[in-house]
Amino acid sequence: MEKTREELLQIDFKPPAKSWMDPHIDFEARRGSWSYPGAPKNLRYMGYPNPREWSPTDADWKLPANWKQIIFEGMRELLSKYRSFKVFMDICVRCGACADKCHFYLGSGDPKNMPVLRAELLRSVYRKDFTTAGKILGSLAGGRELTLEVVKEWFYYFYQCTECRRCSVFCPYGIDTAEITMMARELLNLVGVNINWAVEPIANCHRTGNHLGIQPHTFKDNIEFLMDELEEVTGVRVEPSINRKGAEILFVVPSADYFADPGIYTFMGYLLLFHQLGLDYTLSAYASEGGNFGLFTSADTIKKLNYKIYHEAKRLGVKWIIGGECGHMWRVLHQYMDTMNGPADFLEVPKSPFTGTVFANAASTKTVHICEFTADLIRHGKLKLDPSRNDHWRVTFHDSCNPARALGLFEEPRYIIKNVCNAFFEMPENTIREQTFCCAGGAGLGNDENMEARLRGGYPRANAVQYVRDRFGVNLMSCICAIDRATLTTMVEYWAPEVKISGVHELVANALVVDGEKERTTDLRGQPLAGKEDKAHV
Amino acid sequence: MAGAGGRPVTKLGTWLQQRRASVLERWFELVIATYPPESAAFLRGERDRFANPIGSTLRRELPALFDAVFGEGDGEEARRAVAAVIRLRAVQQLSPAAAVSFVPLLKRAISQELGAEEGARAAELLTLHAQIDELTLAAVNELVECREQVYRLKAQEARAQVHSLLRRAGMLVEAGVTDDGKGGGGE
Repeated sequence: MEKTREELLQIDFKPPAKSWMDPHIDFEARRGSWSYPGAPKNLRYMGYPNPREWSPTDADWKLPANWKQIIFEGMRELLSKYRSFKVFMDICVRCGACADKCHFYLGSGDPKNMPVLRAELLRSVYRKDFTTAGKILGSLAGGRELTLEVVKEWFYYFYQCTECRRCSVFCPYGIDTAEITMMARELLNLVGVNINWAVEPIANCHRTGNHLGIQPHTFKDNIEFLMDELEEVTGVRVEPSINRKGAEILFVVPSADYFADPGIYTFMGYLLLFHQLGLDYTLSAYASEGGNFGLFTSADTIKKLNYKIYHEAKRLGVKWIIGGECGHMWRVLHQYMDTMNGPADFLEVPKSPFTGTVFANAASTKTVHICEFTADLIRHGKLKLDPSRNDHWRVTFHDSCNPARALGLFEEPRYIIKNVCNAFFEMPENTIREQTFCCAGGAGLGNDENMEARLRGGYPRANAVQYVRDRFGVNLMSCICAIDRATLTTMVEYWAPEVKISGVHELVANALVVDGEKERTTDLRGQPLAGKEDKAHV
Repeated sequence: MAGAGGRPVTKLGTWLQQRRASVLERWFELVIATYPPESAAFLRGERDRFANPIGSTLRRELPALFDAVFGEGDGEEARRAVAAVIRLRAVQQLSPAAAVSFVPLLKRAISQELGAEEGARAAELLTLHAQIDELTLAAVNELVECREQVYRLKAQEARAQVHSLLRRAGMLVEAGVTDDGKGGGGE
């Protein structure tokens, strides 16, 4: 039959209406939005349950025969262990304040990326089997049967949450939605459903001390190699201090800072600063990772990986710790460390040897953020700075989620940047500070197989970057997180390729006037400085 | 709009300019409907650019595209607007056809607006539809480019992971050239 004109114009791509309770996910069609499962070798090394080869696209996920019982018992245990979990399950009134605050939701429009609905995927099972109303009324009370499809849906959506906690800022009840994701991931972990991008770094970190599995000799080699590069730019030879007992300070950085672009320039920045100060510090080849992917897997793992840093502090006999530009390290340190492994009373309350400032805010963890340390130096006029050496950059600052929302570190990085750069521009206020948008690559999701989810989840941030690029000609976004530096680099290449990514201490090092340095003609990246294009050999 | 004999008295282009707001609203609604229905109210209602990136991108770029085709704009501006929307839809797990559908949906918006008058404008619509078809094909080009870039970015990340190893191992010997083919610094 011939179609009418109206029918011919019916281009219909409306998604079919379906109830949110329907858990079905077509993993094949959604490649690009999920991460590969944990490799059995890593699960075995960590003693995690159910190591096996499997893929989300398989019909059979090879769960243990009693998987349901395991999850229910796990949920019962978590509910009794963490009052917060019980409260978060019961207290939500579904007001929707969080619904439109998640970067994954804002970039996708997928309602199950609304934090309230994502949490409801777990809460519905809780309601069905752990509340009286749910036991009697079932789905009428918002209860939902725990089925294999539900487990698969949990895997899909709880690994589409970066635990960034932007939604929690808006919750009138203060529900920490990241903790709901953490609980869901704990439960999935009990039946061997996890992602390799989280469990491999954990296994490596456990064995060699860092996510990448870099052994001590390579750690030392690589850092010396970076010091060679630094010397080429500055003419100054910086001798790194590694595993030195009796140093005053242990310095802990995310491993990407000494191994991957563009973090290596930030690392050079830290060490150049320490060299100029004559700081009595040491790096540890074992506490060679600030990051703690336990946060994305299980509480026991967080505790173990965090303890390693304090164990090294004790072994090396330092007095206190400085932490580098790492993101979720600060969530662990500021909000979990003290109850898990603290107080670190074998250490001293941090006091800057140059300004005398006592960091009372770190009185219990004894760990100071390098931005606090450097901002204090600048405030007391202890650094000679030439901000014109960053004049080729027009800079904005991305508040990395955890330092912002878990540590409240808003002003120090800005204060530093404004002192080491001449051109600084803020992104719009509902995209910065406590309202900052995530890079969409945190919590183990920064892998390449998950690229589409990362790119659309990164759009809310990129949208603000495009705005300052177009309005102010911004060409650099600085940040204080290694996952940011790795994943935002890719994200801006897609959305705003004119903008590059850096750490804050890379900019510090460009501006820092160092005793005995040669005339700088390039920045740490080897790019010519403004007005020195003819002198730079690049 | 119709004359005494039921014939249109204004040219379609002028008529579209007069009905711009209404056609744009219809078009916006049709495009919003390609997202899950639970999200429509939010995508439609929230006007802050930074609180609603999808909705505000559509509210900015659909009019820009409309004006580039029927108003003062040029082909370059039309392709830019198409690219801005496609860049977003390319990573939203839409089928390729659904991703580009926002362009031909303009035909439907215009058809809805014309209503009974459509028949009388058949000849003019032929030209207009050809213009929209051209934009649809431009959208296909942009979509393929975006999808290829996504795969390039995946490959680039994988390469970056081994890059530092290669560099450390002294296997990159040509000074000033990195393994992505760009001139690199500090080698």
